[in-house]
Amino acid sequence: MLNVHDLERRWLKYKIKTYIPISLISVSVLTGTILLLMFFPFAAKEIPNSDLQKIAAIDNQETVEVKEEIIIEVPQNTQKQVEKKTLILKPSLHFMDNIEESLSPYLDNEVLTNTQEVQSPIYTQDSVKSVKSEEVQEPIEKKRSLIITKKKDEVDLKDVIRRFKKNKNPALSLFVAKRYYELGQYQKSYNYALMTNEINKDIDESWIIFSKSLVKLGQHELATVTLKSYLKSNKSTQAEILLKKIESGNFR
Amino acid sequence: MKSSFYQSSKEVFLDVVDAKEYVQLDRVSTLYQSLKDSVKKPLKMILLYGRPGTGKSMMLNKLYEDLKEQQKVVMYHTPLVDETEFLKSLARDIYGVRPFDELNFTQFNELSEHYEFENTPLVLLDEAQLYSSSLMEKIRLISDARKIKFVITLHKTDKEDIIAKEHFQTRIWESLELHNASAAELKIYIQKKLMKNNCFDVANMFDNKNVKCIHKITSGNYRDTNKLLDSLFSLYDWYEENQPTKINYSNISIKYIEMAAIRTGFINA
Repeated sequence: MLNVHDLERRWLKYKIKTYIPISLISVSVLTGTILLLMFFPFAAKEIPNSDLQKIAAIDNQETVEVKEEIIIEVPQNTQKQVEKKTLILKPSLHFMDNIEESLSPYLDNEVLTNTQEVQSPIYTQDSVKSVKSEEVQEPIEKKRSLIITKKKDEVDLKDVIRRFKKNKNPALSLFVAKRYYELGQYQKSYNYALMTNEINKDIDESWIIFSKSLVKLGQHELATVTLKSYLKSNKSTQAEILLKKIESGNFR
Repeated sequence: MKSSFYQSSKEVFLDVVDAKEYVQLDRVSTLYQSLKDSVKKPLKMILLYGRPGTGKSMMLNKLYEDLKEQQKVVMYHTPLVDETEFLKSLARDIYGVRPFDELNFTQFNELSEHYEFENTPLVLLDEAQLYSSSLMEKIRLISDARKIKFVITLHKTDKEDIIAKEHFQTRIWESLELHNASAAELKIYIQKKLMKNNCFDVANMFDNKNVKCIHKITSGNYRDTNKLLDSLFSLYDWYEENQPTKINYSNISIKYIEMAAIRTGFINA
């Protein structure tokens, strides 16, 4: 006997049963996507990374670092504010350049480094502490931005290392050596400085980072010997200053 | 009337083995021609095998219909399990002898020696897997004597390999396997069947989509397809009588196909 109503009911149940797995899969995929978007803000990754190339290309590394940190450390809503600050700071940088020209070559780089640290206090950890009351209005936001900077540094550093492995550009390896030195990873900075020296023996900064790393690794004598042998064949005021500092015990 | 229309369509798919309802499809046609050619060859036995519902009986029936005017052909749809009964049936149907007493194998052989035919008589045995081993052995011996030629059909099962069976291994000279229909073949099968019975409108209601659905349910098995379509047209008939607004006359509804499948047990719901 044909019971169509019962058959229709059974068919409806069957359809629901067949759609359940598809619905479950769809819902789980959708949920997964939403969760992924929530926990991994892809928007942050969209920040252009092209400035890294500039870093490697430009000799004045300190200035480039500042640019990089501007983009990375500041959250989107405060980015404009920081950019404004850099505009204000620019004249003072020129001013420092002028001072730099007038200074004796012995003091040249050390002073420059120090002044830059003072001039751009909001871009490094130490300087943030020193001028916190003057320039930093929201310390909590700054702390957060510093964490982001560190992560980005690692990523960028890896990118630079990858590029260095490809093209063996000493500018890149020197950049990496400097970065590792700043991060306190002296063994790595030593390695990259050594690689830089092997590629190009006439880069002052590379020998200085190499020697500084040696000192930090406890190899004072080796650092002294290295600098002396370098100074025999090259004339470098920075190297001389460093050698004096190491010998006098001012640089440890 | 539309109602009788679906009713007549339903009757098309009743599960009956009738050579008139035989539908020629490309692959089936080729196989059938091979079977006919094999019959002409001096082969002792021809094996036709395949899964249930692949059209073995229908093909055997068609062969019988095609050859019965040309030569002596006997067809046994249902197996004759008893040996004496089998031999007596052969004696009656081939030689026209009706033995009153018991007829044993030796007596049958002696009887067959007295008859000569221009073409060796052909015996078509359907469902041969139901015959006992001893009877199959006797059939083998009769075919060895070249007095009778046998065409047998067997179900192909997963558990046993038919070809490997001892009494077939050395004597089957020709074996033909029948398969389920593909979706394209199934569409032709359905439409041809309907058109043969003047159900042109209903035949046009089948398109690739709903035939694909039928194929998915029945795996292209002819018997299952007949069963499903019989149920489908019962449903259509009911809707035509009770809720005609629910019928789309341009297409066979997937919903109704699935309902028919639920009704016939192809879909467990």
